[in-house]
Amino acid sequence: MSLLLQAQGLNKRFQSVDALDDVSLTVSRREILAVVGESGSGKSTLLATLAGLQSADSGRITYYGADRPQDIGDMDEMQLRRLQRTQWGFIHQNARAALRLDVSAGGNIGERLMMNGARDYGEIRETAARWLDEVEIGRERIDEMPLNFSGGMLQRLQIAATLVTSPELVFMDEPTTGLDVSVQARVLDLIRNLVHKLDVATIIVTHDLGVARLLADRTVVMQGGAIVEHGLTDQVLDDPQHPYTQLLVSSVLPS
Amino acid sequence: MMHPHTGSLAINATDLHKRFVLHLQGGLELDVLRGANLMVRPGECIALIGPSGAGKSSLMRALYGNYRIDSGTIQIAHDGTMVDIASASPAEILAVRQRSLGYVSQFLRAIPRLSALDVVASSAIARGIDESQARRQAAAMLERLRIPSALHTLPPITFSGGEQQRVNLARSFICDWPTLLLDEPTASLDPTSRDTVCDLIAEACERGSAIVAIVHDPALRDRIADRSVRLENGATLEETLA
Repeated sequence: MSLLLQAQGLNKRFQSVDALDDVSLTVSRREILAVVGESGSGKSTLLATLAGLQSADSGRITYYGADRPQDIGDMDEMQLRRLQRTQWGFIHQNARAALRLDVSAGGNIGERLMMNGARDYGEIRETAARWLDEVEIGRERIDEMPLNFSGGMLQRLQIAATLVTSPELVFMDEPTTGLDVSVQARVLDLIRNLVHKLDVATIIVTHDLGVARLLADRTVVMQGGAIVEHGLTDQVLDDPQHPYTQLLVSSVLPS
Repeated sequence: MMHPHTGSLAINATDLHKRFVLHLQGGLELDVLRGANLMVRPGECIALIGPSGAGKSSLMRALYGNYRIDSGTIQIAHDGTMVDIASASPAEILAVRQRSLGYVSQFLRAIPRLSALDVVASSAIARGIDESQARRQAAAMLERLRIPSALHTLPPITFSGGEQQRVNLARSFICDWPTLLLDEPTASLDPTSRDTVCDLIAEACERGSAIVAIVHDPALRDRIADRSVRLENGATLEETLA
C-alpha cells in the first residue's frame, strides 16, 4: 500500500476552541479511511483542511500524486484548484448546494469532464449517460433539471459528477446524513461499489459508526479536535479503548 | 499426548494477554486472556472448548486481529512467512485477512441490498476469482448448504437464523483458506446441514487448511477435531486428544 496523502501536526484554532489539535494521519492508495466523532469534534474541519478548502494555522499536508510529492501549503491558488478538479473530488453532505440545479443532470456531470479538458460533445454526453445508469438515475433523465430530484437522487448525481473523472482521492462529508434511512443503504452500497471498482482512495467523515463499519478499512476517532484512537475499523468498533470511543460505540442502538 | 511439530505451523500464538478496561463502568478491568497459547499445523482441525466466558471467542478474535492484545505474539502463516498479527500494521493485517486467514463469526454481517448469491460470490471475487466463475461456485456452495436457488437472489437479511449462518459458512468455504477460524459453526443448524459442514471442514483439512473451531457439542468435536484445546479463565490448559 503506497502512501497517497499525509498530514502532520495540523493545528487550527477558532477563537478559543481547538478545532484541530495536533492531527496527523495518512491515507494510502485505494484505502478508505473513516473519520468519526460527534458534531463539533473537528472532523469536518479536518476534512476541509485536508482537501485544501481552508488552511490550518500550522502543520503540513503532503500529497503523493502522479509525479512527485507536493506540499499543499506551497501550492498557489491555481495549482490547488487544478489538483482539486483533476485528481481529487469532494462529495458534500448537501448535494443541493454542491450541484447546479439550473443545469441538466447530464450537464452537471459533463461540466466536470469539460473542466478536465473533454471537448467532444458526443463523447461527453455518452459518458454522462453511462454514469446516470451507473448511479441508478437512468440515462433517460439526462436532460432533466435536478431541481425536482429526490434527496437520494441528488446525492447519487453528485457522486456521478465527482467520480466521472476517476479521481485518485475523494473526500466525503457525511454523504448519507439527511437522507431517509431507506435511501441511505442504497447510496452507501453505491459508494462502496464505485470506490472499489475505480480503486479510488476515500476519506469519509461520518457520525454514523455503521457507515464506517460498512465502508472503511481504517477508522480514526476525533474528540475536541484531536485524534483519540485509530486502527482497523473492526478493531476500533469491536475493541474500543479510549473512553470516548467506548461511549460512541455503546451509544449505538442495536438494529 | 500429541504435540504439533514446530517446523511448519499455520498458527503459533504464545502467551496472549488481553484486558478490557471499561471506562463507562468506572474503569472496571476484565482479564479475558491470561496466558493463552495455540499451535496449529496445516491440515489440522483444533476444537476450542471450555465453559462460556472462558475466553474462546476472545482468543479467536485476537487471532484474527480484531481484538488488540496487550502482550504475546500471534504468528500466522502468510505468503510463505509468518506474520505477527499482534505487531503488524493495519495494511499487513488486511493482506493476511485477504489471502491467508478466514473467519466465520456466529452472525452474518452483510451489505443490506446484496443478494445471498452476491454475498457469497463477492468473497471469491475478492480473492481474485473471475466473476462468472465465482457466481457459479457460489450457487453450487449455497445449494450444497441447502439454500434453495429461489432464495439466492434475495438479501439474506430476510432469512432465518439457520439460513443466515449457512450463507455465512458458504461465504468462507467457497474460498480455500490456508487458515480458517470458525466461531460455533453449527450452532443454529439442523442435523443435515451440520453433516454438510462437517464434510466441508474435513475436505478443507484434506486440502491442507488449518482450522480452529469453537465447539460446545462433544459429539461434533469428536467428528471434526484432531485435537482439543481447553480454555479456563482466559488461559489454555492441557491439550487433549479429541
